[in-house]
Amino acid sequence: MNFRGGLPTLILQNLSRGPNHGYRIAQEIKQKSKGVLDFKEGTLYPALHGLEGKGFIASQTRVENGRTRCYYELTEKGKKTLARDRQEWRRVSGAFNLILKEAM
Amino acid sequence: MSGLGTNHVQSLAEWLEIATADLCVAAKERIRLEIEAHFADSMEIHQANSCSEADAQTAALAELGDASAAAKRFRNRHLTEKEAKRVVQMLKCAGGSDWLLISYSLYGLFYFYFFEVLKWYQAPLVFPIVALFLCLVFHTIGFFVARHKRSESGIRFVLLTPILPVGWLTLFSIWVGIWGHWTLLFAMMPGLTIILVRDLRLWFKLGRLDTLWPKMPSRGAPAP
Repeated sequence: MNFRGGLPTLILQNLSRGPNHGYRIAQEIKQKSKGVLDFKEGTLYPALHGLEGKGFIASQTRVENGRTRCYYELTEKGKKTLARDRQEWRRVSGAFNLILKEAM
Repeated sequence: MSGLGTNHVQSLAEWLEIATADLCVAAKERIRLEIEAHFADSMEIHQANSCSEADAQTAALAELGDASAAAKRFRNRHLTEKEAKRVVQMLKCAGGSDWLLISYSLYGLFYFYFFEVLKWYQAPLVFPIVALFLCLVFHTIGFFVARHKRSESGIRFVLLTPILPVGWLTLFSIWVGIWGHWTLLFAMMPGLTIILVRDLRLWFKLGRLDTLWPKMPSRGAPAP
């Protein structure tokens, strides 16, 4: 099953807890999903830039231990999108559960 | 997901070269900084888990995924070098009074040619006159916007100035074709369609970039 379409929502959810940078976002998604959702960085960064392009997140560059990091944070537009995505996910996953339960 | 695509690159530099190929300088630099920091973090973790430097590098490279697939995604999210140059060139042209005068002259030339053709075929003139008037108005507004309003919405408006006349010429060719002048329609349509599709793609892409294109180049500045 292809979950790549859900990556933007997972990123927005991660950033709802505060600003974060790409590496930590990837690690936290992987850890929280117990290794099931392990997105390649070549997928993560285009998704981050896409969300920034749409104005859902904003970026800020900081230098930490000699490394230039780009921190992302949720914008008001992003918060509204996340709320809508959560609602949509509940609706769709509820429908999936109903169908899959019937098959078991 | 893990295992998507194959990764044959040997070093981070090679991965970055493939993933950022064709992108404009500003986008290349931004991606390079982010991926380098990410790669260093990843290597640190692998080395902390008692991997040798070589093994840590191989693992970190594998985590980056397929460079060619990443390049395709990055090209959808950022301006390519060609597109950035085109935006700057369009702004420069739209804001130049000499270019405005050339455009007016071209409009005049097309006006006489097309209207003579339409009169010959006894086609109605209202639609082309309105379209031509709108093009002239947009072109003039575009001239002032390019000179004074260098925001993201400003760029998109300026980009409309070459799109509208090309669109107008396309519709005009179809209109003339409908009234019987097929030669003109077939002679003009291929070229016009290519230009129209290219400019419209750039226009929509700039709309998607939104906050990734906040810094307008000052007049006469090189491409970003």
